[in-house]
Amino acid sequence: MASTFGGLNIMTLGMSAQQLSQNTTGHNVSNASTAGYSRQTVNLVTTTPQQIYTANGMSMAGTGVTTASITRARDFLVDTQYWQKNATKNYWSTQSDVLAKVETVFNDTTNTGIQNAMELFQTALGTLAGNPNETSTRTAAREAASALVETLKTSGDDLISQASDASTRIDTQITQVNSYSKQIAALNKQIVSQEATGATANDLRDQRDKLVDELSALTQVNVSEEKSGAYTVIIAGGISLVQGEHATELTVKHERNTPYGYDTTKVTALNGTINVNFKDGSIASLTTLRDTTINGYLADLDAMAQSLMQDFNTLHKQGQTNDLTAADNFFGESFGTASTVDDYATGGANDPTVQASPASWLSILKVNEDFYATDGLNLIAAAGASAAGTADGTNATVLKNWLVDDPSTASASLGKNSLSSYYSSIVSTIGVQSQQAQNVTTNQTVIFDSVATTRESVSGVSMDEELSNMIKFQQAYGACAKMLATMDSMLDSLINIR
Amino acid sequence: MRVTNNMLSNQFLSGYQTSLTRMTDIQEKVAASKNINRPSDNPVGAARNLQFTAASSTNSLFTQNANDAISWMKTSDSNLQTIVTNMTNIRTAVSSAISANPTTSYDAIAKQVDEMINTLVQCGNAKVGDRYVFGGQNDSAEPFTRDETTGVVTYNGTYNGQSGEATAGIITIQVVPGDISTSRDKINLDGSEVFGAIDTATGVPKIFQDLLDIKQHLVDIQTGANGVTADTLTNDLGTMDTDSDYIISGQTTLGAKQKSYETIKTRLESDALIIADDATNNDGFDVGKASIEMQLAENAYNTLLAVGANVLPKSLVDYL
Repeated sequence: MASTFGGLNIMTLGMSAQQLSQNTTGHNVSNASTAGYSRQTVNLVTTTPQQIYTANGMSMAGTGVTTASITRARDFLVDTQYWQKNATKNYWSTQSDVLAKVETVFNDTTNTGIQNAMELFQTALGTLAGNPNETSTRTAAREAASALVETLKTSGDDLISQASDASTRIDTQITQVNSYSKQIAALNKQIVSQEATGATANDLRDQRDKLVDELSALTQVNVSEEKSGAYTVIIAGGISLVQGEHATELTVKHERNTPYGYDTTKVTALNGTINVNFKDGSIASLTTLRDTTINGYLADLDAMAQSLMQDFNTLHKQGQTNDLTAADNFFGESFGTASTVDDYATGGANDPTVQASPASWLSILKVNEDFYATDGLNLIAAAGASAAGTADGTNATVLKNWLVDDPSTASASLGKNSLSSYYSSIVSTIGVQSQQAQNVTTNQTVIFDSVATTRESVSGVSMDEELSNMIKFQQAYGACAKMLATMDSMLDSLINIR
Repeated sequence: MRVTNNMLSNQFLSGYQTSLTRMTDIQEKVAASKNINRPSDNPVGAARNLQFTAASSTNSLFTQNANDAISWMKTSDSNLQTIVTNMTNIRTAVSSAISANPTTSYDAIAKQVDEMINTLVQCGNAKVGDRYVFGGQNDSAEPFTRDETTGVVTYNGTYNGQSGEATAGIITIQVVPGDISTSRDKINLDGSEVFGAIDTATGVPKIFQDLLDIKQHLVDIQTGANGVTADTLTNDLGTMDTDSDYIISGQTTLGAKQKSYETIKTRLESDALIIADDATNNDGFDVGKASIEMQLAENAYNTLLAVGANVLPKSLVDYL
């Protein structure tokens, strides 16, 4: 026999269950735009049935509803994919962003770059060859050379500052990594303690996943969930960034690159005992760009500077000055007037043409300062070795041709390329690199977007869904209340029996 | 697949980005009138573009060089013409002296020849700008000087074969690519190519020596000194013919060279158009095509906005 007031109890349970569901719907609607939020569902179960004895034996009578749990809609597998693709996408979008900037250094589409400077120098030398004894053509040749030197150096400086920028960004991003890993560790602690009771800490978990989302943009992360509910976050090289309540702090040490002098960074963990190398994500991207890409283009510019200091000078010295004396260096310093002439007579190290590589050719590249002295312009060797007078411009033509004609014997700096064709290969290399980075970024964004959509499809809040739930719960609540009233009136009937 | 409101708005935003990016791209191309605005727009095209700008600057250099060379050769040619005319005049004067004449006439002819030698020296010192054209590589000093008292003309310029240097007199201006060729790129005649071999001891060119001799003969014939007779003068006429031929042959060589430089100049000018055309084709920018692309992108953008505006604000709320 069921208890007299049992019905009232069932309806009370029902009403509170519907109310909780309605509240959760409200929570979902409120957080529809909260980043990282996943929709929550109240899972209702029936309460333990009551055994009652009837005339025909034992029966199980329902006793109402209760809340088994409140869960969030989330798929860990999709999350893992999301983190992986996010790292890849950010690797490439960073490549594409930085390469777009590097590209501007080698942009000659508006005739203002290195190519233009080389052409002006070439034209100046060609004009000098036709009018070797004129001050104006000599001045033009000197100034065009100086403009080429400046353009090369400015381009080098641009690359150096971009490399240093990359280091600054790496520094900032490591700070972010440290902050994220600390927050994740703190959330791990809270989640573990809250879930010890058996409940699921939905909102805290959402926050933690959001932090991993942010972290995965910076570097590839390998996340696994412990039995306790804590996340273990491992980055490339097997370094566990977060384990339980513990976060590993990464430290950045700044260094100076040799020979170009831009800032580099060295990231270490555990008091500098372990070097951290990142994989994927923007940090790895910036590191590669700085150490390989930008450094490589700096080396290319350096090779161009080297060829001017060595190959061009060698040819220049084969000519004669306007006074028909042996010529000296065009770039760098005069062989004869260098401040530390100890082996000048034997053709030693003070001569750039035989000198062992300095740290950076680009840094010592300049037009011979003697050209700016009184009558210094006469030192430009326009005349060939066999010239008998000032009207000979053979050597100027040789120098002009050197700029554009591929040499038959490979040079130490440019191989079998002329300065002009070497530069044009740099331009096509950066072009292909940047174009490829843009294309891969587009592809990776599509892939990432599809994973993000899948995740949104699983976890996202749908207003229409929530509103139809709202009506469902509203009606259920109303029905429960009506039942309660009916039961009350039944009891009333019972009590008023006379 | 379960669709949520956020998915709609995300998709709208990414479509909006794509659409605007496309419009920006087209706008950039239209603004610059170029398809290739940075190497990554078309790496191969960008590298080819460098070749075209290099070709174009080489072309304008060579065109300028050709102009310089032609002006040099024109000056040379007109002066050579005067020299040839003068040589003919001298010959006429000398031949008029061969028939029996009064002695005063010999003096007059000798003075005439002397004066004409001065004209030859003037022509020999012809200049383009401040450069002497017949001085070989020594273009800044007057190549021919005449001693006021002795009347001897000496050459101060350089000439081929001087001090064993085979190319000492050559001035080159390059108008075709490649290494310098002293035969192909030579634009001048040095003093010895105009007035004959230079005496290494005295520095006197052969033709001037001949003319001075003739002048002396015209003086000597009056007294019969040094055995000068009318026959000597007849021989001198033969010498003058040889000398004139020498000068004319130099003039012809230079004329042929000038013609070839003019041909090259014409070719360079038409090449400039071809290079400009190639560069435009390489870039491949087409205003018509760009405006159609712009129109399409604009349509897509408008549609996106219209659809977004209709779909995004609606939910069940509107109907409850």
